[in-house]
Amino acid sequence: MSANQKYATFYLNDICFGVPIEKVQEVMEFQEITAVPLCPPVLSGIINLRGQIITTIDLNTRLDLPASHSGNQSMMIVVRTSEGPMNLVVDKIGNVMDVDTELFEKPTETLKPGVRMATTHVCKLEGRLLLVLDTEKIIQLEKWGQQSGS
Amino acid sequence: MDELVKDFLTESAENLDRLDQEFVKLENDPGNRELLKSIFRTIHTIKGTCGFLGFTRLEALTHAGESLLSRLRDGELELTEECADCLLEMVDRVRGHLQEIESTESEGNADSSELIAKLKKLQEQAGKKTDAASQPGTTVEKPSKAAPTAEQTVKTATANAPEPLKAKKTKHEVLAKKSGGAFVRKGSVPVEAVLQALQMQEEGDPRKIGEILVSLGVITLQQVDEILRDKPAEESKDATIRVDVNLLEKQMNLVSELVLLRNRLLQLALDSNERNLNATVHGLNYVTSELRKNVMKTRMQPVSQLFDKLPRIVRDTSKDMGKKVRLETQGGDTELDKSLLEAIKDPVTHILRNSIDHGIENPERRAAAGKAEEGLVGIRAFHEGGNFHLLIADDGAGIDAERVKQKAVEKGLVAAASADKLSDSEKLNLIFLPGLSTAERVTNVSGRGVGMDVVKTNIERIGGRAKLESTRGKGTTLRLEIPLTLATIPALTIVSGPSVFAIPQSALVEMIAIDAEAAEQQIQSIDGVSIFRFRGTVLPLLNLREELRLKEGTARKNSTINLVVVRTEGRQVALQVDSVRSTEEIVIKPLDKRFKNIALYAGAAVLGDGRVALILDIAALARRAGMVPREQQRSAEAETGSKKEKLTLLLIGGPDGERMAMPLERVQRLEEFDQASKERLAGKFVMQYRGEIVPVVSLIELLDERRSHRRTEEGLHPEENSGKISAVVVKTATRNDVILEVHKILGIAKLEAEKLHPPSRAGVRGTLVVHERVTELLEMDELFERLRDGVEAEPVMAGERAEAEDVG
Repeated sequence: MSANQKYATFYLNDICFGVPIEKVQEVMEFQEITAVPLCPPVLSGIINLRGQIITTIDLNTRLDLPASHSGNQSMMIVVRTSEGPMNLVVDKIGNVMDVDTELFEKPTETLKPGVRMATTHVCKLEGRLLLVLDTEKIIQLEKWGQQSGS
Repeated sequence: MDELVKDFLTESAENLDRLDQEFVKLENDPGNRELLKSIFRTIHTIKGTCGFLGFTRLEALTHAGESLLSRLRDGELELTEECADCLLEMVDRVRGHLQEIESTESEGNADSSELIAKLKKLQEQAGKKTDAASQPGTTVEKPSKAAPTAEQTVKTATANAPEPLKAKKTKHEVLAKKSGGAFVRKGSVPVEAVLQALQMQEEGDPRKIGEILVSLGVITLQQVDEILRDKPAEESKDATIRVDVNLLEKQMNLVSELVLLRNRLLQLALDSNERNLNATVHGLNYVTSELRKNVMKTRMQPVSQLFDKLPRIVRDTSKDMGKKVRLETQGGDTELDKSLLEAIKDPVTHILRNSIDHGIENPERRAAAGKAEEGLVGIRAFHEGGNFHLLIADDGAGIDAERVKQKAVEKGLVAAASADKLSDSEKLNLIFLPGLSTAERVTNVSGRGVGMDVVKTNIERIGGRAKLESTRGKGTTLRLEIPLTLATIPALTIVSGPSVFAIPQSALVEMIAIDAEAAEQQIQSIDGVSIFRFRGTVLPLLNLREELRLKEGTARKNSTINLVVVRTEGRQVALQVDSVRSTEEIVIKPLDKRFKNIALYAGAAVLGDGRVALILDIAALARRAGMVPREQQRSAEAETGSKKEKLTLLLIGGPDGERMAMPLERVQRLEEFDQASKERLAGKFVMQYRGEIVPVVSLIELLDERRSHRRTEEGLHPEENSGKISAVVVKTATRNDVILEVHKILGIAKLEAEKLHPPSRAGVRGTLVVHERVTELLEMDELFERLRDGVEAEPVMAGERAEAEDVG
């Protein structure tokens, strides 16, 4: 059974990730994040999105990837989750890709554990891999607690 | 879920709430046809919809109820207590079914056949009764269905029999509540007659308008009845619509956003200097403010929504307890934010049950005490000082403060020694401690040892306060003070490190800016614990930067130190911040549960300039810094620190290098005096201190009499006779100041309360290790006891005391 699915893609440490397009509420340029002192490092803090307070996750830290050097060049993706909108900080925004689900493969063992945990599928595209992320897994609190050890 | 079913559920839930109330009213006024009609209509509606939606069990149940009600309505049966009980039970069952439908979308399998049978039986009795009634002698005319019974009752009442007079009286009471307008509107009475009646009233006629009209002969009593009973139905026109709370919430958010945009626009307009733009923006400014006010208003609800649920609770509880209780409510139109109203519902219900169960006495006992058999619980709501107040008072037996204290000591919640020294009011308020119940017996209503503490926690969670007052034999009053709305609160914004924080105004005591020079004197920092000496008190000092581990660097090298004194859980704490920004009305937004673990923030807020500020949870901050609230600390002391509570101690050095410590909370001030300022009075030392004559005692003298005798002979610290003495001003439990002369103040230590080792001597609670030195933890209360006894205790006491204390 073949079907096409649209993915919003973005880059972290030059790795291409994607989330289903319907999970994305909006994409925006980096804006000031209010730090929450004493919170685990995976949480960057909170932002004011048109009056709504939204928790911001540093996706590099979340996936155990090295910290990004893009600084204010970073982008933000607000995703819809079961717990309301969540803001993800990523290095760079890519295109929206239409992917044939037949190309999906299971995540390989060679992926870093942090990345593998949140990846549902891997998709080989012209000379490049697209890692499809599960937004629900990204926002799971318990895992964070263990990771950050607090 | 089906939209139709949803509508049915909301509508029915509201109707059922009203039913509860109406039934209770009906019991007091059994002849009220309007009420019966309304009750009948509600049940009838539910029955009809059930049939339509296919809820057969519910239909059968309501059908039985409806049949009985129709008999009642037609006057074929009088409302007995048994009857009311059955009907109320039916209401509860219906409610149960509805809940079942809400959660499972099916009406459930609850078997109501027994109740249905009971309802049917009651209904049959009705039939018999009318048969009997229509037999000889009575004035009841042919029992026709259409003939309203209320009239019949009146006829019988006026015709004969002393007993029905009561019914007539209630009728007149009903009249009392209505105004003359209805008579005219109905067109049955000439305006002149009503005016005449009103004038007679003004001139001092004590009778009601209806009565006067009857006496004037323009109308009969029956007509009066009919007019008045039809009045409410005629006036109840719906001018309201139902709105989803989420929608209101969203609207509130949008309006907040609009306010922010307006603020920015205002700034831009001012900068541009363009007149037209400025005028328009000012218009926008006004409209926005009004809009915000009105949207906030939509969240306000009259407290009568809560009051309306209470009569049923009072009825059921007092019946269970075999007591007679009357409920009086006042100020039902006082408004409160919807979420707050919801939040106080459970506490208030609990308090009410408590009042009836424990407060109000049995009728016999009340009679013996010379009180009316019927107890009174009064609830009054009003606004004062920008807060919502709720008083719940009963005229019952009151609470015995001594017994509360005893219980608290028995359960190990308070140390016996410190409990004895509490004032009556403080003893009484121990009732709010977790795990305390003074009820002799556990009833199914209250007395399980959970309760008042939960009430207090719930009230404090929404920023309110609870206070208990009680007079033995006279009654108990519980006072709740709650902020009007949680939607916005006034807050102080401060800057620390890179961030802006908000402190709720309710926690704020004052702001102090001190220069570096004064700071040196007023702030003492030892071992990472700081205290701030402020107008004669010693406040624990927290540096927000350090507490939140904010990065250094952006710290302004400022000669001025900004302190914000805040109040939390009965204690004051000074917070050192980088700078104070302003006061703002803020909208509290909940923080993601992921930040809850930190437990230092009460939420977040978007400020006027669009920045986000974290709202500090002052109580949590103080707790984190090791300052446990007084009550908890007491209980920790009672258990000799078996809990891992943090203790803050003042360390004192003795002349021979020994170390002692006392809880910092007992310390009022640290002072230095001239040796010469000590004066002798009646063989003891005193000092003139802040306009009082305060006894001066040497700590060493108090601790060890033998040595003190020797010392007194030599004169106290002869080598320092001309020098300064270090002193700690402490308050005794009886609230008198005592100046405790010490050899040396070493500093402050903060440590987890570890297990104490057995005490070394009397006046010492135990020994512990502080900074790798063995330190005696002083038992302040015991020391003061000795002071009162005039330092007569024999050294032998030491051993006995140690055993009696049973420490370690």
